[in-house]
Order: sequence, then structure tokens, then C-alpha cells
Amino acid sequence: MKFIRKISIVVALVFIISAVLGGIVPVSSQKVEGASKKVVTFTMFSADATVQYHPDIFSTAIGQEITKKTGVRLKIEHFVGMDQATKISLMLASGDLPDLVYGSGEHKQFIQNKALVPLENYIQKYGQWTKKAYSSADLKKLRQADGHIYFLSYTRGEVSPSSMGEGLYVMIDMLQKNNWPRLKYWEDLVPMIRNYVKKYPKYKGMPVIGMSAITEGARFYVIQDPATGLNGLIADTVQVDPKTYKASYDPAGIGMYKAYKALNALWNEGLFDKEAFVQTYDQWAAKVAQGRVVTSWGRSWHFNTAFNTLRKNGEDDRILVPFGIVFKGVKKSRYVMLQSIGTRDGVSITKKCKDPVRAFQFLDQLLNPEVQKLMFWGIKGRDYLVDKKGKMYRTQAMIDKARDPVYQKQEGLGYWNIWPRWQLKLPDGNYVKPELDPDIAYMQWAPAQKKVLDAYKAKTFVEPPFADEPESPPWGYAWEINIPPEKQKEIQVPLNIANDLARKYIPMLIMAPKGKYDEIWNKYKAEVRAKINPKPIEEFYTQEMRQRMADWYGIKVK
Amino acid sequence: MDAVYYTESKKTFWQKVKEQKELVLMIFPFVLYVILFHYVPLWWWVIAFKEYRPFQGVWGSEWVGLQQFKDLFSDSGFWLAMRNTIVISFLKLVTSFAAAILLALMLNEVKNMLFKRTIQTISYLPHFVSWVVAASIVISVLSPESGILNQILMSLKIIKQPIVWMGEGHYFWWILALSNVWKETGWNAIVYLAAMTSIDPELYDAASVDGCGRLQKIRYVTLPGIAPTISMLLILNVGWLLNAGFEQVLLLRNPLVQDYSQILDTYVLDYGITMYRYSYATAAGMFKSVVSILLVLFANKVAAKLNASTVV
Repeated sequence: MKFIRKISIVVALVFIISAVLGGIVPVSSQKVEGASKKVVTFTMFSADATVQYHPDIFSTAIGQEITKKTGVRLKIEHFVGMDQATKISLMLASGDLPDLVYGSGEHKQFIQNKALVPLENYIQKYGQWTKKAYSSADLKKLRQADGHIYFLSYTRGEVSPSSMGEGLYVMIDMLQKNNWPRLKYWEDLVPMIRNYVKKYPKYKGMPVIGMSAITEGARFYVIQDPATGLNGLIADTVQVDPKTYKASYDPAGIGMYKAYKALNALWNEGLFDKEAFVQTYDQWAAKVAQGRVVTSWGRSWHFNTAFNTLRKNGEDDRILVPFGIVFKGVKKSRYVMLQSIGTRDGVSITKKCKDPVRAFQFLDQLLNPEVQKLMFWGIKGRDYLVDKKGKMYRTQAMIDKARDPVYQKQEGLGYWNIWPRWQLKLPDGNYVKPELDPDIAYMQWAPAQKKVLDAYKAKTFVEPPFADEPESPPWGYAWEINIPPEKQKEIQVPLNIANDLARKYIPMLIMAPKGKYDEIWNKYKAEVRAKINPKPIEEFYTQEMRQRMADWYGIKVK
Repeated sequence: MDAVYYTESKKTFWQKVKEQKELVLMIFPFVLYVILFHYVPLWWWVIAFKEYRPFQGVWGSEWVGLQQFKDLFSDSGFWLAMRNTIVISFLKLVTSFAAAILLALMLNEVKNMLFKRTIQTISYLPHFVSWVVAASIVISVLSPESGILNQILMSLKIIKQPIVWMGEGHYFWWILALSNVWKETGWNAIVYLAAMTSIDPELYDAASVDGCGRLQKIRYVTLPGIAPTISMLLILNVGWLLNAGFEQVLLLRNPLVQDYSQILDTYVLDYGITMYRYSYATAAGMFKSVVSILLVLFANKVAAKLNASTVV
């Protein structure tokens, strides 16, 4: 017993000492930094949840090169989980902000709560590269409602040839067995799904699912896409008249009746995923990765891991490709949207930043073409080559290596999406990102995906027959607009209630038993009419849209 | 002249402190902890009467009086959340109490120590699994296509079509209650088992002499023996009646059961914090705390009337 007692005392002591020392003794990497000449370390928070994050990006080969060139090292805290709003809300309430922030979809809240440093004066004074990479028209669009610029946005109004595309995702195997049909209309797609599932009810012993969708938590918007998508509308908070810039808002309108009735028919045939509304995102992804989902609603980035698994398992003909499916009679599909520059989000400097000038200079230095090449292409000779004419390119081996997550992590490739960048090309004529180069884009697809492109004589998944001309409304998008705090109750609360009603009724509509659809629809419509007053919402967005047209293009509408 | 008597009670406060300085030192860190983490934050309740904006600070924000509470009580969503909270936590309270006492009674009857310990360990292990893992286990067990429950019921020919367990509001309440039982019963039973060991064995012998069987011993010796523990835990738990299990609900809910899964905590999250309405969220939280305090006092009164042990 005595022995055990001694041991336990020793263990306890070790715990206490290590806990105390852990707080005091600096980590060795900081020492190394101190030795090299004056490297500034900034803290940062990033809420970018669409990509896998790197635990310490500035320790990678590319990160270290960037520190050498800019003299800045970042300590980045990453958002984990799904609910950015909660995290950012609590961060703002506590006032405990890092030097730099990127808030993703919630970035506007930092602006709203006046937590950010306006950049326009810095751009004038120190922005030598910024002024080259962002035109004065760009800078105009970057101005927020209060007239200040808070970030240099990374979305640059271009469609990437290596984008997986948007729309309704359809399995390659079904396309091949139907001899590569030119899919455009819902009415043509449904019989195809029906026949395919009848002919191949099982894959590897598991039931094949005709159509699935993501509905979990914050990703519920995916199942709202059919309403706009199938009817050829833009997926946005409000619909805007292109002539008068008048916004209209109707949560029980926008073609929902027809769209969910179509899905309801699928459901009653047993073709719609029975678990669609009770499954988690991971369960959905697993089904796609098992290769038994024939068509699915979802945005391109939701499919990444599942497709990688299929590709690794050599089942790349079970990968899905997007089609801009619409109802017969609709002229143009509007799934692929051009992200207009500016209004959305980007990396910002907070008012808590200890040296905002230095922080801005860092952002500016990132726009130096040399640094841009590092960020997006990697290290010369290892990640890309340059031919005699000065054109940057990658070999197939380099492309494959750049796709490998282990290599990405060690090199620091593919983690620089949210930073300011040039539009499409650098001043020397090279593409900013390898993905923007059509040749490289083609080379990185899986064999079956290449076969699809060849069969349809297309170069990318964002051109016909996969998508129509990308949509780019001149006024941007309503979902990017900041709702001022004093209007929260009048606008944000009804929008949330409408969203909750949609969450409740869309599943009910899709799952409605035969002949009950109209009854549920009428209930939904009545509840929306009773609970939501669209007037203030429409007025607010109309005013905002017209303001934008006036500010950006000098177009005034009365 | 009156004599002056120095008795114990006449000592001044500081004298007493000096005399008991070791005890005071020992309690000091905990008092400090309670003040720092349980009383200082209460100061923030002030924002429930304001329209709080972080950049204006607490004092810079505008006073709105009881507006936040008016908004709260006039929102039908809040009352729905209230109903769900009470139903869910009531279900959970009843089931978890019954299950824990039952398990403890049964374990107490087991005479084989090795078997008893094994069962006990197995039964309280799920307590250490986080709800994140537990929720995904629950969801996959109940899933209509691949879930084991539906497969068993189907193969036993009890049902013809798989049932979407997670898709029906009333099922959802029971799923919350029963999954809570699965996770916590073993853990909750420990307290009762401990209480049972303190029952005087002579009482059992006396009962045997009086001709009691096993069930009668449980009825007349064991249960009365743990009655004070039961009533105390009941009072403590009543204070949590407005906590229907935030994590559990958040992880298990889905759009189909929205009207049944919205509890006060998720309501505060959905309509307060994630919408940056700090004051509104605080008002809702404040309401919850006040009601909880009243519930504890009420339960305590009832227990005192019934002549059982009380906590306050």
C-alpha cells in the first residue's frame, strides 16, 4: 500500500508541475522565430468551414516562405462545428477579438457591430499592390453601406473551369447506360431515374436511392434549392425585378408548389430517400460514397470527400455530375452563379489589432505576384514548372501529388482561399491559381469524369450541357446585405420564422401521402400569410438594391 | 455590580475567524470560486433590460425596460418551447428515477459480487460517452433503412414497413427520455446503491424473523431506507426541470420534429444568440433561472410537509 501511495504522489506531482510549466515555458518554435529578424506574429480567427483546415499553416514549406517574404506569421484559430453564428455572436459579445478575422457567412456581423478597422485610407497610403490588383470599380463595390472598406474580397467574379458545377447531381453510371443524354428537363430525368432504379435496385447488396438531399441543421438550404432551381430562379432571399430593381418576397411562393409536388411524386413512388429528413450530413455523405445515390441535391463542396472516396476505391463511375435541370417551359437554368466581387466577405483587421498598419501591409504584400504564386501554385520546381515562354504549368504527377491530402498538409497547398487575390490572371499572364488554367482543370478529373466531358464535348462542368451561361445579377445578392441591428426585429425575425416554417413544411410536403399534398400546402400558405408581413422586408431590400445600383453604376431609379 | 461573563458566544467575529483560521483558509478558494463564476456573471442580467450592442458597451446601450420580456411572452414560439421543455424534462425525470431505483434494487439483491460489479461497471459506462457519440449511435440504431431496431421488428414480423422513429414528434419525446435512461441509469443508480449499504443488516435479519420474503424486504426495509436519498435527489432535480438537456436535443433534432424538439435552451440559441439578440437571449435565460429557483423552493416546501429531508 505504501508503494501505491508513493506512486500516486509522484504522479500527482508530475501533473501539477507539467501543468504549471506548460503555461510558462514558451513553445520552442517561438524561440526560433525570435532568432530570425523581427517577425511579427498576429492572431487570427477563421470561420471558413468549407475546407479542411490546417493546424499550423505557417509551419509548412509554403507558409515559411510567405513569412520570409512578408515578415508576418499568423497564429490562426479555426472554427470547428457547424454553427458559425453562435461562435461569432459569443465572440462579439465578449469583445475578445483576435488581430485578424474571417467570419465566412457571418462576416457582416463584425461590420455591423463596428469591430473592424476601415481600410480605405491604408489602401491610399500603403496599398501599392492592392491598387494594382483591385480596380477602382472593384474598390467601389467593396464599400459597405457605411462607406468604408473592411476587406479585400477573394471572390473575383469568375467561373473556375475546375469547379464541380452546381445543379442537380446525376450519377455517371446512369448517364452512360442511357448513352449520354442531354439532360435539361425534369420531365425527362424522372423516367430515367425510375427505369434505372427498377433495373438496378441494389448496388453491392445495398438498396439504390433514386434521389437524396441534405437537410441537416444549417445545411437545410439545400432542400430549398429545388424551388428556385427547377423554376429557373436565383436562389436568394428575395427575387429582384431586373428593370425596376424592386424586390419581392414570398416564402410560400417562388415556385415552391410545383417543385415540391414533383418531389412528392417521387417520394410516393419510393424513389426519394426515405431517410432524407432524419439523416445527418455524414450519413448522407456515406451513402454517396457507397455509390448508391443516383441523383442528389447538394452544393459542389458537399460532395468533395464522398467523391474522393469513390475515386480512391476505383468506383469513379459512381461519381455524380451536375445538370442545370429545370421544368419544361423554363428557358434558362440559374444554378451556377457568378460571385460578384466585394460585398460578401474577406479577411479583416479588428479594432483590437495591436498594429493595424503592419497587418494591412501584410495583406497588401500577399498581393505581390511572387507571394500569390507561392500561395496558389506552391514552390517552383516542386509544385509547378515554367516553360520557355514563362508560362507556369504542372505535370500530371504534380497534379496528382497536389490532390493528395497528406502532401497538401505538409506543403501547405490549397489552404489560401480566403486571402485577397488577383482576378483570373497575374500581370505576367499566368493564371492566379492552377485550377483556373483550363488545361490543368481538365487533367485533375477522375477518368470517368473525363469520359463524361469527352462524351458531351465539353471542357468544363460549368458550360452547356451541364449549365447555362452563369448568372451574375448586377446588384449582387440579397443574402449578402447587412441587416442593421435596429431592423433585426422587423426583418431578421420574420425571415427566421419563415425559415422555420419551411423547415417544418417542406418535409411534410415532400412526404405527403397521395392526395394530401394540397391540404398541407394550403395549411403552409395560411400559416405563412398569418405570421409574416412581407412589406417591410420588400421595402428594405428594394431600397438596398437601388442604393447599390446608384453607388456602383450611377443608375438611379425612382 | 454585575459580573461580566465571557462566554463562547460573546467572542467577536474576528476572534472566531482567528481561532478557526485553518477552516476559513480551506473554504476560501471555494467561496471565491462561487463569487467569481456564479455571482459576478449575474451582473450581466442588466442587459435584459437594454438593447445591448457590443460596440456600444453595456452602459452605452439603450434602456428598453421590460420590452424584451414583452417580446418574449408574446412569441408563440417561446410558449411552444416552454411546453416541450416541461414535457421532455418531466418524462426524463420520471423515467430516469424509476429506472435508477429499479436497477439499484435489483443489483442489491445480487449476491455474487463479481457479477454485481461487472453489471454495475457495464451499466455506468455509457455515462462517460459524450452526447455527440451517443446521439449518432441513437440515430443509426433507429434509422429506417439500416437501423437494427427496425430490422429486429421486421424479422419478428411485428411491423411490415420500417418505422421512421426519428420523424414523429411524440416518438421523439420518448426517444429523448429512453436514450437518457440508457446513458445515465447506471450512473444514477450508484447513489442509491451507496444509500443501501448504509442500511443496518440487522433490519433485514429482523424482517426475516418476522417472516418477510424477498419482495417484502425490499418493500419494508430497503425502500424506506433510501427514501431520504430519493426525496433529496428529487428536490435537486426539480430545480433542473427547465433544463431538458440542451446537448442531447441539439444533436438529435431534425426538421421533421421541429415542433416537438424546440426547448428553451435551443430557443435561446436560435432566436437569441445566433441572431445577435443578446438582450432577448438574456431575458429568456433570466426567466428560466427565476422559474427554476421557484420550483426548487416549492419542491422543498412539499418535501418538508411530507416530513422527508429537505435541502434548503
